[in-house]
Amino acid sequence: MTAIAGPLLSATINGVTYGATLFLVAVGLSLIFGVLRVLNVAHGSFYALGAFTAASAWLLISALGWPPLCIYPALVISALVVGVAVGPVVERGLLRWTFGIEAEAARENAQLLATYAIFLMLEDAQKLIWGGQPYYSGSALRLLGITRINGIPYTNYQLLLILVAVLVLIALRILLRGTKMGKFVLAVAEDPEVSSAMGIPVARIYTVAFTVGAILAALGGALASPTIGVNTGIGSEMIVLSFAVVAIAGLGQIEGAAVAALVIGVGHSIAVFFFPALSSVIPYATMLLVLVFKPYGLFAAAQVRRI
Amino acid sequence: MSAPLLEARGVDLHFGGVQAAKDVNLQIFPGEFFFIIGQNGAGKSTFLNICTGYLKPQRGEILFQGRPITGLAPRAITRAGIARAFQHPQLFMQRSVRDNLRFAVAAHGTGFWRPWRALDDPHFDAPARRLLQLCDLERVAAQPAAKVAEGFRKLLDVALALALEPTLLLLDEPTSGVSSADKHGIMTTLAQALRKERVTAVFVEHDMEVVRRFADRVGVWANGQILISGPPEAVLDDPHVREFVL
Amino acid sequence: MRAVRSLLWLAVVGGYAVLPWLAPSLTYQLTIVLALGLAALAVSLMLQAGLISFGHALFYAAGAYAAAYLGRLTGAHVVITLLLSSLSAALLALIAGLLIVRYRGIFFAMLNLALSMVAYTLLLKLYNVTGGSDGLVVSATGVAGYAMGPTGLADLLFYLALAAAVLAAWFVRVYLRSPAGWALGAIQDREIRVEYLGVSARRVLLVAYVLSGGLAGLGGAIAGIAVGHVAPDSAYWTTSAGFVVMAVLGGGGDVFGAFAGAALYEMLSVFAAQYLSSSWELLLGVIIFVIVRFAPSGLWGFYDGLWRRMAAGER
Ligand SMILES: Nc1ncnc2c1ncn2[C@@H]1O[C@H](COP(=O)(O)OP(=O)(O)OP(=O)(O)O)[C@@H](O)[C@H]1O
Ligand SMILES: [Mg+2]
Repeated sequence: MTAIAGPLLSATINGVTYGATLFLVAVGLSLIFGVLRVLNVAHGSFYALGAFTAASAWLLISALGWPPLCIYPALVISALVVGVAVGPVVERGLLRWTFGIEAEAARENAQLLATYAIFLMLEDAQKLIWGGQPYYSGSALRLLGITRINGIPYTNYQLLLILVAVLVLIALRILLRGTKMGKFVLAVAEDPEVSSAMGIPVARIYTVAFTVGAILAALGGALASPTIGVNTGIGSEMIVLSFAVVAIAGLGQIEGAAVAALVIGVGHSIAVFFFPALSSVIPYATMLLVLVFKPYGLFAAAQVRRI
Repeated sequence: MSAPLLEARGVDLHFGGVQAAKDVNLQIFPGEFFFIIGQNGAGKSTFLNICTGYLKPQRGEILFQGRPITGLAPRAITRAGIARAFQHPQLFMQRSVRDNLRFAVAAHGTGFWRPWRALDDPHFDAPARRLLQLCDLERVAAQPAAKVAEGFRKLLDVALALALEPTLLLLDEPTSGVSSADKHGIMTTLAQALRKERVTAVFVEHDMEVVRRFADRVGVWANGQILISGPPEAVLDDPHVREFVL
Repeated sequence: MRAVRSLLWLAVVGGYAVLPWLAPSLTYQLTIVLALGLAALAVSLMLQAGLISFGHALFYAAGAYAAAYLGRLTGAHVVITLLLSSLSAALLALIAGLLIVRYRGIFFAMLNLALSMVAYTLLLKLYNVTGGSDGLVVSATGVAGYAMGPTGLADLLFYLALAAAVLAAWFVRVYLRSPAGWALGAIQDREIRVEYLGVSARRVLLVAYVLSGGLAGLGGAIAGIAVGHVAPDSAYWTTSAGFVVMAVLGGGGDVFGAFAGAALYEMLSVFAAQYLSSSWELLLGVIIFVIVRFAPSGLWGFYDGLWRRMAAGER
């Protein structure tokens, strides 16, 4: 093994792990955009809420003296709780009115601003509930032991994270293509008016898609919580990162989001290794570069408007 | 005969499986009114979209005044002297009919980039007034385009194109969506305006009475192809055309 | 009626001009409001074309950092510093704009955001050039090289900012009535028709974008000098979002809206910092939501509606 290959491999595995989290959040954002045509600025807050809730679950499990392994189901339950509690309320209560705005530009702008307002509210809600100090639940990371690859130790949790992301990708595919609800979702994404004429309950599909998107973001946060310091501000950082993933892939692309998340994750980790100072530029620089040459993202095609 | 103003040579375009233009060859001569007829989906609008650069043909060439314009952007083609009106009028809906026209005048003439010259400056307003009169739009000049009847919108759409003082004007169904009582009035207004400005025009039209009355030449479109073209009497009374197209 | 409204403007500007005399302790805050107002004006200019920029903090920060560098040059007079900083930001907007004006809607918002985040990261990480997270000191000297006391400079800066704001507002107003400014709304409404009138929508937007960048940069330079310091946070996306909020609070309808929005925003933030400490964003979020939902034309719409009703009553 050459001197450079070892660290490169290590960076790649770290990058894939990072990409897995990014993918979960971004695919939720992409799903919401694909179906509701809303760019959800509050999406990062769902991620943060998932992370905070999971961190609290860890504290609770420790306090109750339950077996530490309970944390793994608790992570998933945290995500579900956050998504189901917040998703429908936000979509029905705070966003539904925007769907009636006729002019496309005015509607998009109202949605950007409304979701930004929701982002602000949720940011402060986090501070009110969890206070300003960071939460660490890093010990959950070590419960599953470590694996050595080429002598470099990785926590099995990291590898589990990758597995979860792959499972989510497969599950989404199966659910969308193979179930009635999934086909409804695809139909609404294609054309809400035609779908509604065909008797598909478009309003319900909107709520379902938004809630699933919120759950995915919260799942990303919950699963990432043992690997990071859960702190206010992680939401505002995650939203721009997941924007970048979605833009690189193309709005509404699901498999594309996986590819883009991988590219950003691995690119980021390799940059951390070679020029650490500039590593956080990678997602944005990649996005700029992609959009210069493919204005609608890597996997989305331009649509000619009929005139 | 004089040299053609516009010429299409072997133009092909398909959308997936739909052949919207198939070996289209056509010459438009200075001063004439050429009418395109054909059933829905025949490729009439597609042809205008190709001529104005909105769609790029997969094969073939478009020449304007002998120069190739294939693949140029709509803006460049407009600047070269081809203006158009749309099947669905493309207007600035929230603004008044008058402001729509003043803007078109500004777009065409000088002074567009001078910040100190407001849109209601006489420099833009005087030509706009003339166009309002020419297209019989004075009654609705102050109203927002969104508020006026479809017939006025169609006229305004043409007036915007006329503000550019084009050599060639392409009009996609200027009388569709208008009551049949108003159709002839609108066409008379338009034809007078065009003749007065010496503009060559290509119309897409579904009403055969209108075609008979105003066309110099007619071309029949079907499945992206030109079936037959010639003087209106010959084409419209052709038994094949009567049976399959009209 | 028109004359009354014009007089009212004079009164508002005049009233604002004497505020530092009445309450000298407010001078700093009043200057900041003008700086923020310029940035909000920049954002609302793009809003005219229906384009929301979530990245104008880039130009705001560019203006402030430019002011910091210029301050290091000996004898950089405050007026020259402001002008050159604004020009630097406009130049940056020209370069960025060549790319950005090709995009609409969400992509415009996101590309602006991405560019500003690249800038934010560079400001943070290129420690040797930018001072990293500590930022840079911004200093400016007073009239013709005479050293001025700190209050003298603060007063001078306030009046310069006021003059700049009035000039900028006036120019933007005139520009929006000219064809190239009117074209912004036309692009939002029906870009295809703009192109079919032979006008390049991209060029129209580029001109507006450069002007917009220059205005935001001017705001940033004023704020930088007023604070005496600039840090990378000034380029973070939430700063940009703040400008958008001000523009929307004020209502995109008129140049005055941006300044009213900035004043309201600053008042809310000062108020919230004093009495609500940690729930400032919650309050702001609720206010933004209520405005977007129930009063989409903002403060300006409210004010304009009032006049319309009065005019209708007169008839
Ligand atoms: N942008 C597009 N993408 C895909 N197919 C298109 C597009 N534009 C037109 N078509 C198809 O090309 C064919 C020709 O369309 P076109 O609009 O030219 O018809 P037309 O003759 O103008 O009909 P009408 O009288 O209804 O206006 C139609 O089958 C239409 O569905
Ligand atoms: Mg047609």
